[in-house]
Amino acid sequence: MLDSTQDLKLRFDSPTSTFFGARPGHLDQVEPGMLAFIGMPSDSTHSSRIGARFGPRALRHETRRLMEALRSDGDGGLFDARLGHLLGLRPQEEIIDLGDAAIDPLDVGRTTRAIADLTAGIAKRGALPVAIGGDHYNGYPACLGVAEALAQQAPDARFGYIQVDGHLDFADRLGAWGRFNHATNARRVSELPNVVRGNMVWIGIAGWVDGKDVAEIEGFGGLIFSAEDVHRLGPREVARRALSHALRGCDRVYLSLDIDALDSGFLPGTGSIVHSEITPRQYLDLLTGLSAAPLCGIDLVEVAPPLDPSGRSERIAARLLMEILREHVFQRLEA
Amino acid sequence: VPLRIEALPRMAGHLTFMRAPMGAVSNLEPGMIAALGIPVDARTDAGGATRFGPLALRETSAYFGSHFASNMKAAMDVDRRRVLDGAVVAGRLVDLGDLGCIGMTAAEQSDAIERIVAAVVGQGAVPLVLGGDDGVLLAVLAGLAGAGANGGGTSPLALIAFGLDVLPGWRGGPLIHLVPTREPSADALRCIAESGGFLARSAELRELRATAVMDRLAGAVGGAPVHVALDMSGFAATWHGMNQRAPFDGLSLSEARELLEAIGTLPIAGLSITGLDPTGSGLSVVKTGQRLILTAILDLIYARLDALRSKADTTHA
Repeated sequence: MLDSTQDLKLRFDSPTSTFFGARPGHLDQVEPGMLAFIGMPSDSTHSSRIGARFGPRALRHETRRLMEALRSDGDGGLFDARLGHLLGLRPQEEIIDLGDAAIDPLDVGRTTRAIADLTAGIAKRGALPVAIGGDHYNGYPACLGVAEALAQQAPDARFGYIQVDGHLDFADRLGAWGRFNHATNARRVSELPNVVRGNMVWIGIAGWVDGKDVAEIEGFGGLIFSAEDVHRLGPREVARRALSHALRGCDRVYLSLDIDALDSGFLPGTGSIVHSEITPRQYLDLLTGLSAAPLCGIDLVEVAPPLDPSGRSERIAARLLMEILREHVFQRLEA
Repeated sequence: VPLRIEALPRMAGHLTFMRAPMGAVSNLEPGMIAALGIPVDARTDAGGATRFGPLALRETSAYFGSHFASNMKAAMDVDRRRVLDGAVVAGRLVDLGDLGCIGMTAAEQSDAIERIVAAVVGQGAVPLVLGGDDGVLLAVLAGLAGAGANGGGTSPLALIAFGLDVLPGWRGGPLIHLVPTREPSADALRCIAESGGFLARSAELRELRATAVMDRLAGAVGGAPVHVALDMSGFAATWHGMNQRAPFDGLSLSEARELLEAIGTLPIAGLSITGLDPTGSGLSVVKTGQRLILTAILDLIYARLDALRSKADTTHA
């Protein structure tokens, strides 16, 4: 007769998923060198198709599944067939999930503060904040917190900014949503005192945009790689040029990843679709090129699971997230 | 700040094609483009709910209405570094609404479509038919031909079709069939050849530069007035998944855009969008299909209205 769970050989997982199966924790448990996740389940500032508030939950589930699959392959290392690398998983203690920020759908100011306080707290403790949305507005408070922490720790330090996106998000205001919404986040970032505006880079912009915004960005020295540029130059070369531009005169860069840069034929589960013809493989290659950058903060936004009944959108996004974090999740092993 | 001083959010106001003003046939003038919904889907054996096509196309087109609204000073195609002269478009695009088809027999529908298209052409305007299943095309073509879409000239109407099956028994001017949905019969090939047109699959189009394709198109069309029939089946399934027919030989958006912009410089008599089933594959809420086909046809519309201006790209030269 079986009389214990040990005899049953069962394993009990946490009733709630965490990003990459990280241990759930609190801000005061964050230590230097760690990777610290927060969720930003807010889509009240999106102007059309909502659903991104379910993004953090879906990505916690999918990234945990990814890690379980990797761990089940044994301890001998994992072969990354795309790059030809033998990889081992880093100790799980280096990754922590702080849960979701306290979102107030009726008060964008309180939501902004709640997110910024978390990313600022993570950055002040010497860890890398990874903030998962939610709509793209939330990328601004995530970056704001990083900027505030940096200003406190190194008042003279500056940082560059790279946004992978189908859209510029550089409007000053958007109709009834005013100045704080998913179309204005990049402009709000550009107004931070310690971001170098001329080091701001956009990658994957597709189709029709406001030419006035393009002229203003290029006027202050920002760089725009359209989707066509990604196809023409190749994602690795775009990543190289983007990093080179974003790191001019500074030693760190904030990275904002909007999954809607992908063509909606591949990833329909997002609020503002484009037909960029950018494939998951190209996005992956782009992130490989950016993954070794000196990042001071990351956000990944606009995964809207209710908009994709196939479920592939969150699976692709989870894989993209793992790629940008490959230096933190994996360590290279000798072949 | 009062909300009304700003441009309307795209879910507010009246739902017209690209937020164009609503118009009446009697007020159309030469050089205008008139959107006209034909919400039918009972005229084909391919099934689907294409009767919701006009609604879906208008919903998605509202996004592009900002191109000549007050909140966007200069719409730019960032991929090709071209700027739209919005003033050229404003006032030349109107929406006539949907043709009332409920309760009609197929023959009555055809008659109604033929008469409304003829009336639009009679005013010197270009009808932009928002289908509807691909079965509306024959009635549209009849309306164009019957109204003298050749402007009183002697050239019969030419047809440039994207996707679709090759029309049986075509008796008009040059028939140019790009990326047909299935292999044409020998009779259809003979029909194309006798019309002075040609057939090209996506692989052939990719091998040729757009300029070479256009040379061939322009040579075949000559000075004839052209109807451009754009069907969802002209796009490869990779990029959407909301088509009435399975597109095995379709184009990508960038390939279609390049061609359609060039075609916009031909003497266009009529345009039609068909085969969009916005309820298909559970993706109706995301609207990938209508976004795809509308993005493509914008190039044709803007080229037709001569509203595109190039802007030098010095950023990544």
